[in-house]
Amino acid sequence: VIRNILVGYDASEAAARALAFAVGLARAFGSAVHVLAVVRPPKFSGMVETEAVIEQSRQHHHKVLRTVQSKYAHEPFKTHVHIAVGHPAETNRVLCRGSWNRSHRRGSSRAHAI
Amino acid sequence: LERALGGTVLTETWLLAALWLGLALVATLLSIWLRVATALSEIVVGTVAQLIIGATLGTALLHTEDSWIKFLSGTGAIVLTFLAGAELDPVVFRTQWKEATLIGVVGFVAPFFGCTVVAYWVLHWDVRASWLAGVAMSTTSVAVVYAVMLEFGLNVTKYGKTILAACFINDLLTVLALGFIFSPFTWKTGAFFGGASTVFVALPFITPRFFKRYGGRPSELEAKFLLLVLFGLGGLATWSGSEAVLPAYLVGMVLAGTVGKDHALIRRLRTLTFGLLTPFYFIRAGSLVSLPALVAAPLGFVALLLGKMLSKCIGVYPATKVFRAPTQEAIYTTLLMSTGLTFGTISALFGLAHGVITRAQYSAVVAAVVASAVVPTLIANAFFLPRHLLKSSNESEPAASTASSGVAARRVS
Repeated sequence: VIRNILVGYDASEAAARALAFAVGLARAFGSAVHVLAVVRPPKFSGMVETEAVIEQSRQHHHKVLRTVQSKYAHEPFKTHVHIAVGHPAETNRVLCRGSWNRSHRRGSSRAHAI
Repeated sequence: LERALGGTVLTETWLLAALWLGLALVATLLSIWLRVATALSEIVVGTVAQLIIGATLGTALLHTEDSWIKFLSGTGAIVLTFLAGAELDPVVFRTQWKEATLIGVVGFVAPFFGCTVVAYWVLHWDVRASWLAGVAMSTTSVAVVYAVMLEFGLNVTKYGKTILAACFINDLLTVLALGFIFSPFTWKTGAFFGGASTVFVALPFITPRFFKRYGGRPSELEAKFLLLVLFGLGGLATWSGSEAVLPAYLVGMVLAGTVGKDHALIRRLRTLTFGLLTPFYFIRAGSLVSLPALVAAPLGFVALLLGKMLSKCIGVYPATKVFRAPTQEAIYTTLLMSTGLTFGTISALFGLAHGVITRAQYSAVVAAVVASAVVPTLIANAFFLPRHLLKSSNESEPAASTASSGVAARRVS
């Protein structure tokens, strides 16, 4: 049984396909879908610019994820959306591991990331 | 071209403003395409534009010495510095102040004396120019360090918090050095010190109450009040022979716990700063760089850059070892703290404006400052990223958690 499915989402075409796949699985198994967007800080930013870029990215992702959440609001499975700041691959890995740790403690199966 | 433009003074002013904003737009597009800091892009665009325009249409076309351009440029530096100071997290600072102060002081002292020695003994600059080079190269880029810490989740670790707080201490010392080393130390200095200290003590009490009573209206009372304080203290500082960014940074720091948390106000000030003011500052700073002088004598640029990186290594590396940081983490910290851009540029421009350094020396300092904003970060991320920290920090604190609202966000420190 798949209880949790984690989808990294950046509103790209590939991300949309991954989300559609996750939704299909969630319908089949009754899993919860976690949609994660990651704000990546700029590498070479100037004074005060870093915080401005992050704040703007957060707002953008918030808008995008709200659309996703409302799209699947009437589905039988639960959709959770998350925004994190960091490195996309690392954040996906860590969130998945965190979910696995929680699930493992409860004696259930691990979370799956897409 | 100027003759062709002709007409009234106002027409000339609008056209000149259009030229500067056009350059700012080009710089912004370049920064988007190349993914570099807007400030860095503006400096480079200013340098290249001055070279091209100077060669084709005359060196005076950008009118860098016009009073209104100097005013916008100076205001840009002041407000940007204020915003930078307001980003300080007082809570983190209070918990990590001992370690942060040690690393911050060493991070300032080592390159300050190191680059002063390099400028004096290697480049044979005079004493005042050498001190100025030391000040300009002593800075560290909080923005670069902050971004890297955020990207790898280190900002939530004790290590990351200490380094970020240390960067503020480092920059504060740079600004203090700039404000006082070249100050004549007369009764005016005492008056500035006394007046500014009184304001710094009073502001955290007065400002939130004043804003609560009269703020939050379309008349933008908050912005007017802050600009009044910044201009007033800036005037007092320059009257005493000091530098206006010194009180601006300190005002930002003392208001970090109050005004700094008002995101809507900070956002509005950022729009004013990035949209109008700082392009004038950085393009002007870039336009004063002489590329021919830089090409003719590249030793100054190279020596200062290497001097900064080496002296930071000599200073910061042992300091991190005092706190038993593993070697890779220590080198990474050292390299991140070798970055710097805005305060370095501000120091160089101060030196040029006050006749402390020549145009050629200014060019070498700004080029070294620009390179120091990029080179250490590249080396640090390519070879010394402490991956074990990612593992430990992330395992102790998941990167994102579900909030009751449905949207979870890891707040930055």
